Amino acid sequence: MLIGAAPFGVIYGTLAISHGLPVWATFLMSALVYGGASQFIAVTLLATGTAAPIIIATTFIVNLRHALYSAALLPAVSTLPRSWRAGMAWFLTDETFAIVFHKLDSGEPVHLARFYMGSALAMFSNWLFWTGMGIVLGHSLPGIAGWGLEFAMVATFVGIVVPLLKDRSHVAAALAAAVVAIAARELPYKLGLMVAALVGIGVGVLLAPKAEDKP
Amino acid sequence: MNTLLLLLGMAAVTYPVRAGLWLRGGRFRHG
Repeated sequence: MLIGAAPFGVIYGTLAISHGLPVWATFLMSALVYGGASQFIAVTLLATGTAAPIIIATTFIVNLRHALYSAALLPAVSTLPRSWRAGMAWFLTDETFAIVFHKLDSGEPVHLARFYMGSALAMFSNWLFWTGMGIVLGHSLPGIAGWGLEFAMVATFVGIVVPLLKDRSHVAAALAAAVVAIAARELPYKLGLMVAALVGIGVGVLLAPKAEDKP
Repeated sequence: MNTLLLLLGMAAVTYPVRAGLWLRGGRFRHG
């Protein structure tokens, strides 16, 4: 996963610089927000002149999945002191969740706090390092904004979403969001993105198999 | 300054969704 994050960090840093985000802000976003998907979208929205409140609201929606991660990990971490958990929450990302949840799921004995913070800090410093590499690349290749790197971001999201479409409700949610995103693309402030996300969530919830239907 | 406010705003909406780890243990446990 450390290696897997490298291209995203580099592309993020490069895109941010080529779209005119200052170096300090590009780096600080990786440190403060520390969520690749939301950072990509924020940079893209910034480049199109989207208003800050819309970018912040989009960040919230994109990162909302972390609430599910924290809920899933809560039973395992609830015996740890709150001060520890406050720090752990800062570093909760897709990768850290995947690594920790897999470890817990394996049933192997583990010192959870050390394992969590070890993997989380490795991912965090890795993300900052590759962001830095992207910043350097963005500076050394000033014309890189015209290279179509944005498409790498689109391909990445497609690659993340498609394997997750496991039943009809997932596919319907994705299709509904896609149709609404295209239909609503003329809405001001890029609001179409938020409307599409909400419609997708609504369709997914409506069509999701009920808990009592499951064996 | 505006950029800094934007970053702080993004961080301010991101941390709370991760802060479920703070909750008292077992609140989400079923059964």
